[in-house]
Amino acid sequence: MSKNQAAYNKYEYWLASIASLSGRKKIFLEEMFAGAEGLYRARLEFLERIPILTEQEKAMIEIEQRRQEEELEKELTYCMQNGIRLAVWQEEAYPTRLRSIYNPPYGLFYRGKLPSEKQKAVGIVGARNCTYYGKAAAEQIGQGLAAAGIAVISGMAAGIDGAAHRGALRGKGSTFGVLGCGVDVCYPVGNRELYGRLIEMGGVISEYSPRTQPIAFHFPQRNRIISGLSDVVLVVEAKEKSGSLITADFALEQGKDVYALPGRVSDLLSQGTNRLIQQGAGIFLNIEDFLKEMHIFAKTEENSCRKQKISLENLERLVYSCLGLTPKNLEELITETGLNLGKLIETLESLRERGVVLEVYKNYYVRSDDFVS
Amino acid sequence: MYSIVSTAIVCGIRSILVQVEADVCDGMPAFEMVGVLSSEVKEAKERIRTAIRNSGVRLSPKRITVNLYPADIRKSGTVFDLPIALAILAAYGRIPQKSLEGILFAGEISLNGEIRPTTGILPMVLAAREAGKRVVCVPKENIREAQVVKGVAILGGENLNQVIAMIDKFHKKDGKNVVAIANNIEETRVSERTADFDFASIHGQKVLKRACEIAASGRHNMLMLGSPGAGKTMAARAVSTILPPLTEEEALELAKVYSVLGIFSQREMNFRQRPYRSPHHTISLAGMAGGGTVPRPGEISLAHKGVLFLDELTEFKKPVLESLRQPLEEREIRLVRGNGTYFYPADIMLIAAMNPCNCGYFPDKNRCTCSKAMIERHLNKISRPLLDRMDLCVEVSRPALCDLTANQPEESSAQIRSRVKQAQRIQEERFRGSGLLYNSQIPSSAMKQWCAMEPAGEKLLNETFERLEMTARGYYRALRVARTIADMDGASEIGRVHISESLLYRSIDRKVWDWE
Repeated sequence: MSKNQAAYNKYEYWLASIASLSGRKKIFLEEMFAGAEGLYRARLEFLERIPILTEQEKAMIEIEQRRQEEELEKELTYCMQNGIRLAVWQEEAYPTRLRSIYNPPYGLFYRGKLPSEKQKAVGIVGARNCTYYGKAAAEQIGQGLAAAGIAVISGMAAGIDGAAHRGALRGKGSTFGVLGCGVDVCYPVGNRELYGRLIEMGGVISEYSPRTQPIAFHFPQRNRIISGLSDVVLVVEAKEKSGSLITADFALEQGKDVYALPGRVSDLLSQGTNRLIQQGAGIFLNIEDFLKEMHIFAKTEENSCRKQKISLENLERLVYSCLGLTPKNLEELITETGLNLGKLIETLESLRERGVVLEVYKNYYVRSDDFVS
Repeated sequence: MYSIVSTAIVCGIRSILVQVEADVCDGMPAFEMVGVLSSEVKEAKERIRTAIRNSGVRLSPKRITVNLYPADIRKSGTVFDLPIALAILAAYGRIPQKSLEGILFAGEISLNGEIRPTTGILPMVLAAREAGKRVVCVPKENIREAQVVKGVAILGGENLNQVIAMIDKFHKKDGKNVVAIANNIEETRVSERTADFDFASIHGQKVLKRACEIAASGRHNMLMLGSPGAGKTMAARAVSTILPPLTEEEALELAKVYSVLGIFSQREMNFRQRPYRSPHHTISLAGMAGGGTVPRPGEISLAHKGVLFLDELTEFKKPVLESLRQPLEEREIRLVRGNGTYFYPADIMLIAAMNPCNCGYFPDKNRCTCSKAMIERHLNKISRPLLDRMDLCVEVSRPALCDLTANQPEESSAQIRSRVKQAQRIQEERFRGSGLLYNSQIPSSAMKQWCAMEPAGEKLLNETFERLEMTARGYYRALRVARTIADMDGASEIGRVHISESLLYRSIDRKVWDWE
């Protein structure tokens, strides 16, 4: 970054970091004042005459104008030191997909990379508090898509989001997390490792300035960026009223395809996705079909050769057949298989060693096979 | 004239003999009592004077001095009324001093001369026996409690006159008779009550029952994790019924605790049965571990040699839970006060129950609304050190309907108890001379010596240790439990099956999801 450029960026940084002004208005103002610097130096009389601004927004801009240039420079130095970059809307780096949405962010702070224009991108969203079924599906779908060369966009939250990212990382593809806080803030803290790997393999993106703390109302807003960056949005698990459905709404508004993973009617966490299907969303059945519908035929063979036949013994087959994707505990398994505790444990242990059974929670077991590809 | 009478004071659950001296002489009429007395002992002055008068004994006004020694122990409680009254009467020459010798007296007196029951009789009688006294006179209501001690004749006092008449008789070599009467009552004591609770009444729950049996066999502490109404409380109650009965010595030590609290009657009918205590979660620190200005034993000591069940473990106050740590290690509670250290027995088997999350339905996602953070917060209420002391952790689910309505008979407590006994016999054999009693007490340094594993078992344990990132403590816990399972199996070496079963009961994971 040359010196000139740094000077130029300072005002853009200032404009981008104003939290309570929508991206749409920021872009409008920047054009009107011929650059962010113009707005920074604009006097109150000029602001007064702008019809789209409310009184509060005018007052707020005036307060923001009091930020010293030295302070902004310091902020820029902080960004440079931490590898945080900023792409504002008229720049080359700014994703074209976002330009066309309603209320695009004025600038995107990011660590790592921004999604490439050439690569197809799928947004995977879903509940934070999810079931094993949703978690496993998100992970496997993420992996399958990544292996097919598709970027996976999600929100780096707990639950489905994290699983989708992890799956994509396992599939050695690129994956991007859109955050509801500053890009230098890791939220939730439990995703620290994932956060690091996202920066390595893709990027973390946010329209909020560095050091912004996660605030509840930021999250529905960032959902429009998730859908905006994606070509297709897939909702894996959602309750009837949930943030993931907001993402689906944004996607529809932006003219993107929405897919949903069907689930059992009785499962609370599948009610939202089933509802989407009822309203006409695409149904996700398996990776292959999904890719076909996205007009991608590449690399699917790799998936099919991953599947291998495992021959099980009689007892193993009995226990395995009683298991499903809903965690079952030992007591249920004893009742269903009719085995005694000792035999059951032995069988579960050998199934676990073969990698077809997983203990997801203490004394709760599921099948751990690949069910989406 | 001078007289001396023996009595005793309770200190912790031990008892120390105290001598009451009285002197009556001419001079300004007065009643002086000395010897570090607490207010209830000082008040005895008025009670005794009135009680003697109301018993029809007229005492001429003289100078009365009473001393209680050893003078460096603070005397509290109401057991001194009777011995003081007798000492004064002897000092006046109304009863012969000789007739009081060799007898230990204890009891509270009311204004009309009646003798009222008091606490701590059992330790006193034991102390009397140790000190070589062969006769103890206690309030009539406390007779059954005193008679638990063998080799001591017990006299039951109803009122002052009756006591005087009784010891008079006793003194006149008519004693045999009184002892005979005392012994007569002894025959009727301890009719063992059969347990009103049985494992047979728990349907299904095979995993839980198995865990209970393992816990009882190796005296492991156990944590039950399960939704409301899954039968955790029932199981804990039933564990106390599959433990072998107390030995005479253990029963006596336990009865002392109850005696000190004045609730001996709770032990009376089931003297050899293991205690089961389930304090409510609002219990205070002093209520749990013992304490107070005049220290009293707490619930831990009341569950000595038996089961202490803490339901809703997460609801207990933190200091109360932490107070369990030391007694679980040392099997004894030490209370240090300005005037001395009090010891209470605390060799307990801890059984705790808690919900897996705030609402109790985790991992049923259709009913549980708790977020991951909420569940973690819930689990974090139990401190790591306490969790480390829980050898078995078992998941309890609601019983299936088919199990509830099934007609096949379930195993009874007696059947399970006989197996538990067998497993404990093996442990007894193994640990002979080492000071240990149960597998749960094997120190980590002696694992090699007592927990030999077959290669396949060792391989599985080591693999799991790596896979689940277990702690060293968790490793040893699993090994101890596996030792017990092997003992139940009659195997001398711990095999792969034993290890894989013991790993089922490993501690709860702080991480909510294993697969994240």
